[in-house]
Amino acid sequence: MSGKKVYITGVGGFTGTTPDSNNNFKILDEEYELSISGRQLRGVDRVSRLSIAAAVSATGKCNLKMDRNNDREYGLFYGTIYGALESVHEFDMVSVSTGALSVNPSLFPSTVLNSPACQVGIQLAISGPIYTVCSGIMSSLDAVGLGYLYVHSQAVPAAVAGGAEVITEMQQLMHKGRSRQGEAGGFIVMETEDTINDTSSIAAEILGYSTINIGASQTSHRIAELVVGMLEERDLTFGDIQKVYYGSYLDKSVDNELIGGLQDSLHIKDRLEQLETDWMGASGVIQIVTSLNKNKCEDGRINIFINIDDIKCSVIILKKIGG
Amino acid sequence: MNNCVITGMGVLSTAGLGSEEFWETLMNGKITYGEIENFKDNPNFRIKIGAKIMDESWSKDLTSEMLEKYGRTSCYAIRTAISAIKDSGLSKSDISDARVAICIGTTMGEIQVEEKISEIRHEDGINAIPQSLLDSYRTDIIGQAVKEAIGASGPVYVVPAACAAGNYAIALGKRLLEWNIADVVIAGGVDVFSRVAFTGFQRLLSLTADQCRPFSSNRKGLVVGEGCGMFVMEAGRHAKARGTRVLGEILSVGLTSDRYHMTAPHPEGDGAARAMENAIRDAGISKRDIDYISAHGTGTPANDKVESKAVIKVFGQDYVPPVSSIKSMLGHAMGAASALELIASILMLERQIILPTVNFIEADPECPVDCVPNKPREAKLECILSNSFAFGGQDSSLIVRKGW
Repeated sequence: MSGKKVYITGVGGFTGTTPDSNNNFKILDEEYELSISGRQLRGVDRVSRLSIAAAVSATGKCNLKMDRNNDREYGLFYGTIYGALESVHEFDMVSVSTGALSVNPSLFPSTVLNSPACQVGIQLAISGPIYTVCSGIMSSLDAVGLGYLYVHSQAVPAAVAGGAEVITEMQQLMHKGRSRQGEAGGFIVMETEDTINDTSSIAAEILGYSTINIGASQTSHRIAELVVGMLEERDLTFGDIQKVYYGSYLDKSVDNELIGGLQDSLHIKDRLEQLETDWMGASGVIQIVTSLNKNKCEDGRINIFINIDDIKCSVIILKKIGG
Repeated sequence: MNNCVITGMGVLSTAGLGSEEFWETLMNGKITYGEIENFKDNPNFRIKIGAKIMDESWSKDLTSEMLEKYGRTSCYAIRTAISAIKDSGLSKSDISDARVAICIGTTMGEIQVEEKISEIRHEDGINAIPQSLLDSYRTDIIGQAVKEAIGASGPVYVVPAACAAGNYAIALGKRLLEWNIADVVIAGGVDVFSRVAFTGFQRLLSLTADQCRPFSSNRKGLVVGEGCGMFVMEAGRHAKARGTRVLGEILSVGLTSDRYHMTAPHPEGDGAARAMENAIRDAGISKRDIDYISAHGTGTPANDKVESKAVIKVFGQDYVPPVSSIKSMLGHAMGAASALELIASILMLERQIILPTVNFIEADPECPVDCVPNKPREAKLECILSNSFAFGGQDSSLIVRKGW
């Protein structure tokens, strides 16, 4: 698919650093509330507040005009595994425990699964498509990927994409990752040269996104083949790769085999970094935000982001621009 | 650019479990909702009316393993996707060999699983919740279930977008075909009847106590419903190569956001009007080419008023196509609504008949549209615009052209 070059012009986010009793990383409310103080957010649930704060933080760093007078229909792409489920559960528990008449009607809007994304959309005055994407650990990487495809094909002039997750009692029971979990919210802004006023805001160029179903027979070979195809399409070689960021929900033994295979196939022996904390559906975007924020990426070098579970694998390739 | 055609569709609805039954019910103006048994004697629910699928034969093609492993939402989606594939004439090997993607929209996801979880937690505590229930609760499971059941090898996306979810999923499917990421997409919307939605809309005073009467001056609100609509969408060249019948062509989908409020529509219909305008522009047709509008038409005072305003804003006073709402018969199937309305639209195109808005009593000056009151109408139909607007201000308008 030919299209416009897509640049990342804003990144922002929050990750948990305070261990809870299960040794998972929580974000203290005061860490993100400052970013959203003064906004009309009565009745807005915690995952949405974190999402808004992360999105505000990302968009504040770019020059994209985000207000209600803007006639450009930017898109919003939001990835999450759990998102609004805690609000649904809280709402329903009140109904079951004390009767339907005792539920607070103002909390009902938080029970639709697109609620966090729409709360972000309302706060950022996004007037184009708003997609919530639920695809396990790949959720935010897929959200970024779809945002990239929308901008690249000029279906939207610019997009804000990312995701968020919070830790709750119910979510803990449902979650099956094997690493320490962490709360997180992260977003990036994607633009083309048509909307970029100040090139100094460019942090990276997204070169491609792909996702495949891998079924029960996942092999490093198939994923390597996908990555190699993406590199070759862009005249890139293994030598251009600075680092591969990897996040997975596979069993440890499968993971080790896969990583070994990828390191061999892509010739990236010491250049694969595994996700240490499981940011759940926000994992992919947090890997991107962290790599750009900490200047881990070198100018002109290629960074590859791979998120995988036993069903699916998603890949994003980006090139760092600037110091 | 690859065009996007529909070659198969599956329906699971209170109006029927197949296209013919669905059509007959709607043609006869039959109301498919009534008093819900579970709430009949519950004083917490002042409104008792809802639309639930009572014919349990919907599940006959599903294995007991599927029914045990997945929640009802996933099972609805599996059953209806299989039905759409059968309708398209694609074989199992066609599905496994081609690049087949899955895009599914929903409002509440596996909400009946949530409701079981809450009941168990309330009765016996959080530790009594069985792992099997927890394993089937995640929203992405719906896509995985369909993928597993049909053996698709392409990307899977579950995209919750409240009541516009079906249109959002179809819009994404159309993009995947245009971007040449897939050759075939199974797309649609699904939601099951939920206590959460029934409670929430009740508490927001959005439900009618008797009948859903879109665009009528005495309309009182919506009826919570359920269902599933699925489509086989193919790149035009792919459908042509296998010489299959085309039920309809998706010309465009306009997706916008009101950027206004979580539950109230923008008072001037900002996002709704832009969605319709974008769809008409992207379809490369003129407003006069739209022969009929399948309304979002929920039957709430605010929604119908704003939708009418937006329609007039887009089409002007000289030519406003007929606008009707089959929610008057089906109730509001939430994330499935727009998919079911697209199925009805395709059947209308095929049969050259506009389905009516039933229960209409008296015109509302604030809804100055021809809502095809109470009786179906013969008409020359080539292009239909189908609206779906959602909580969060997510608006969508889809244009479908008659098949061949």
